[in-house]
Amino acid sequence: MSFFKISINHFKSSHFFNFFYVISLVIGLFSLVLVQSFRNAIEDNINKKSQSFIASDVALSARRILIDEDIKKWLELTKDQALEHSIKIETYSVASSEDHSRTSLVNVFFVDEKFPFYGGVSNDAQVWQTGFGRDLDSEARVIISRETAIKLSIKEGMKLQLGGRLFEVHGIFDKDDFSSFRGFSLAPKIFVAKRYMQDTGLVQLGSTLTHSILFKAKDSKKLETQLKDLIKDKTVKIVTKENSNQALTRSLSLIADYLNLISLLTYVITCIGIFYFIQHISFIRMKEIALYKVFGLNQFQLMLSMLSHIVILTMIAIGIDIAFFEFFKVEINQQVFELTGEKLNLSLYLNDYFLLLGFVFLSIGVFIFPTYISLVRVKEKQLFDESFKNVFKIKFMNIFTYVVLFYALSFILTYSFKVSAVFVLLICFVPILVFVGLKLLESLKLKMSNFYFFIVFKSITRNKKQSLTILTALVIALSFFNLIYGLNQSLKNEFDLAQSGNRPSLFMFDIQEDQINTLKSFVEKINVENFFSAPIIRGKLLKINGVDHSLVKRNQNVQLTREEEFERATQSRMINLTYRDHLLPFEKVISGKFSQRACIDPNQICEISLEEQYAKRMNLNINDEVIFDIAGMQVKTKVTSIRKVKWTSFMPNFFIVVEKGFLVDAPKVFLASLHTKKNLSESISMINDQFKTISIINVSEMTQKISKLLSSLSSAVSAMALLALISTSVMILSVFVSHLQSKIQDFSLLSLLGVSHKSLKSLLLLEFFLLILLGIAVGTSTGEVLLAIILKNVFMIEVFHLSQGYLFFVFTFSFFLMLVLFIYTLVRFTFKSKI
Amino acid sequence: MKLTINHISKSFNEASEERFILKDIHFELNSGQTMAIVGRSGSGKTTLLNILAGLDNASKGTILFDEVDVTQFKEKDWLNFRKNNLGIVFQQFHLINYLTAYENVSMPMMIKWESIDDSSVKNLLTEVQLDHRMDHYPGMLSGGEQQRVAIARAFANKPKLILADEPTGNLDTETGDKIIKLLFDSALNNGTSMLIVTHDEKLAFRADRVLKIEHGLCHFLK
Repeated sequence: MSFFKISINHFKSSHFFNFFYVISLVIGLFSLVLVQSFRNAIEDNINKKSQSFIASDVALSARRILIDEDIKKWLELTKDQALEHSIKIETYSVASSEDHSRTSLVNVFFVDEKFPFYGGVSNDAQVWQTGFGRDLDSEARVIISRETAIKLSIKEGMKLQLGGRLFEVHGIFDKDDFSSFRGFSLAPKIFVAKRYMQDTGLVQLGSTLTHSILFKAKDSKKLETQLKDLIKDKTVKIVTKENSNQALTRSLSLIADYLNLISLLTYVITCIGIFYFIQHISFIRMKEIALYKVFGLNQFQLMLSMLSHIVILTMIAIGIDIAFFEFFKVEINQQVFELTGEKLNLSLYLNDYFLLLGFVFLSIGVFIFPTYISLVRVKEKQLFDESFKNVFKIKFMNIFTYVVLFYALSFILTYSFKVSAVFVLLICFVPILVFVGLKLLESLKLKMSNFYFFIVFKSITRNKKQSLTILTALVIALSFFNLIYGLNQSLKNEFDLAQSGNRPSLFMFDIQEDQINTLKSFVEKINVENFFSAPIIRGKLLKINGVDHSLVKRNQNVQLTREEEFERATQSRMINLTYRDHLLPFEKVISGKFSQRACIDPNQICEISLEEQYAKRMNLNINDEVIFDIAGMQVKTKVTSIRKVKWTSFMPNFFIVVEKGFLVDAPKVFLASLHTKKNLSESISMINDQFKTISIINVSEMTQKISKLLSSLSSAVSAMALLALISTSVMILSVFVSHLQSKIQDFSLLSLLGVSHKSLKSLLLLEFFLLILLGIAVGTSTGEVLLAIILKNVFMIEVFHLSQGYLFFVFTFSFFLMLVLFIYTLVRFTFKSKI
Repeated sequence: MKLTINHISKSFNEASEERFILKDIHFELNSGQTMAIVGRSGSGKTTLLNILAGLDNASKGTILFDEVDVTQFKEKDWLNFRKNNLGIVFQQFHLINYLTAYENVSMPMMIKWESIDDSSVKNLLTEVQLDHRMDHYPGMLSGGEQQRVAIARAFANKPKLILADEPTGNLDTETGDKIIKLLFDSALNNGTSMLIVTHDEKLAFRADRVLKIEHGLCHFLK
């Protein structure tokens, strides 16, 4: 009999095993398949549009006005590679209808006549492509997005006010090649000819803007290299197709990473169940394996026969997953469109299939191989001894291997050391907690006179593998589900309009120094409350503790981890500083002392206060010395305090607060916030009428947008968390059925001793009910603890409570699970004593 | 206690022919008496024991236990009957792995009386010389020790009758002898009747009476 024939015989006779193995793997893998296809879709979308994102081959970009001399120098030195160049300046402002009755925050693109080199905007009837800047140049006209047109209630040919100038609406576009995932953008776009920029008065010293030089290149790579060698100032970014839309790509990749982690979680639960199951089945098959060995089958043939069974089942499970995916692709694409506002085409490529196969075989193999190898090596005589269970003992090296494997898998999926480490630690913490709990219970030596509870208690505490498997999976799945649910509820509450009593109504920026006092007087006249303003001074970080931080080695070909990516992005930016001598209502000093004195002499060392996360990222601590360049002047500072800031307060919060003093004379613009009970649109119109160059954000609208985004994301994450719960349920059912099989002997004995069949069914169900209830209690508690930690430390939200929705869900979930177990017991639990 | 086996037979149909495992088995066992049932493998000894324990049905005949006809019992009646009157010792011990020796012995008490008499449990374990191992699990005990725990368990519910099916079948000769001595001593000490199935005729003659089953029929050797 060949090994394959044996394998086929096993396959044909192991209906239960085949069914549960395949179902578990299908559920465990499905979310991985979905997330991978989502990642592919994002990458495809961005790659397709990457050239049009920057509207050029290569671009230079800075968050300040680039000096003409520098521009001339760069153009001169790259003229062999740069065929043409175009200038674009991007900023924000409030546009209003001609009668000023309606306003909208807009993202203004001041473009020259050569813009763009690639891409364009369009609607069903019209397309504005290469060089459409020319159309805007001849007259004072704009091309606006549909969203702006709706907000301002204007059509083509009508006029709108932008800054100090009226413009005619030349066109309205629906499709925009210069960005993706418009749901994520702060404001809709408006294109204006650069020659009218001065007329609008929107671009002034200190304004929030991005100045870009776009190149059409002979050879993009050569031009990029030339620019890298030429430009050492790290505040000037070199943007290429590959790194265009980095912030968005980063954000979306981060989302995909976390979705991957959730799917990995589901997969971990699946693997726990499969591992238990394999061990159980192997134990049952011990005698059979011993017989084959007695008949002459060697170890290698035995291994192949057992492994080929697993391989066949695994291929079936992957096939089913892929078939499901292809079958439901259209519906999934529609859901993604509703979530992101972008038409994506979720797809899997050939290398994804191979990756999936490799991933599954590696992770399953790490579990199964040691068990099977131990089994085939054991002597036949020992295999006939049913009490010989040593082959199924889990050794430390096995556990260590699994932990390392999952760390590696989570790193591959998230590309972050920290996140992978936290994830694996949390996963490992749960079984340890459960194991210690079971040991403690076992050691209690409780005297129980009730027979049922006595047997059930003993079975739970002594059959550790079974209890550990069920409890670990339940606790992981439920803690995670509770965490997601709780986060969603808490963040939703935080952004809820009804609770916005303390939150500003309007947030303003690009307020010039000569406007601030007038603005303050004006808003007082129109009865607003809690007007608060803060100066912004732009600076560059030069040195930290004597180490130069102004220049960076541009080596963008190296694949960075998420932490390195974020760090690089943070360090490349211009810094916004402010000065004050008091803390804001939502700020809290967690280390050091916040300075309330004044730093009058620019030659002395001024004290600064840093925001907690910023300090961590920059690796700055109390007493560290930092040198800034502020308006060409080197300013020496020392870190004397670290603060916790609540970003969701929508107050003008800053990473760096300097002592009040000589900076009062530095060039600056202002941020401001205010609260009003009046109609917000009216208030914006009134302010905009008087101060046409000030950008105004409607905080309620913004929070609604964020809330909607969070809701969409949360739906996606919740759906995946639900898959984790389903995986847990399937696993519990398979453990229950295995448990039933292994209990036959014990139950037969109990029956002989006088316990009725009804009582035996009750014993079986009671054991599992208690395990499920225990799992729910521990899972909910750990979820609440995690939720409290995250809310307090990340979002600075103190108030939270056990969500009623979560409790209802858990009750329903456990009810249905127990019902399934109960029905299964009623239908299948019929046995004759088999002693 | 009085056990009366009245012309018990057990047969089954094989290829439309009736095959007898037991034909016309009859004997009586009184209180405190011990009886060994001997015969070759396949003679029907275990089948008879299974019928006596309610694990199998006789094709013909009656069994009277204290004048009560147990052959008319339903499953529920058998459960009660075993709980209150029988103790069983198996060849493969059949202890529950996740209970200690103490807990295994106390289980029949819990089932019958819903309480544990601590001193009784300890006495039983002392009787089988395992009082110092009462907190050990079956996995930590040798075969002989496990069988001793099984014997203690069989007496825990103060049965009127002990059924022992090849209790030394899985043990070496020396251990087996000790177990048999223990079994007989315990039966004597507790005033319990005992039916012991064995293929070892030398061991069998320790009992008060010896019944041999051959070709489905029985006759007394002692």
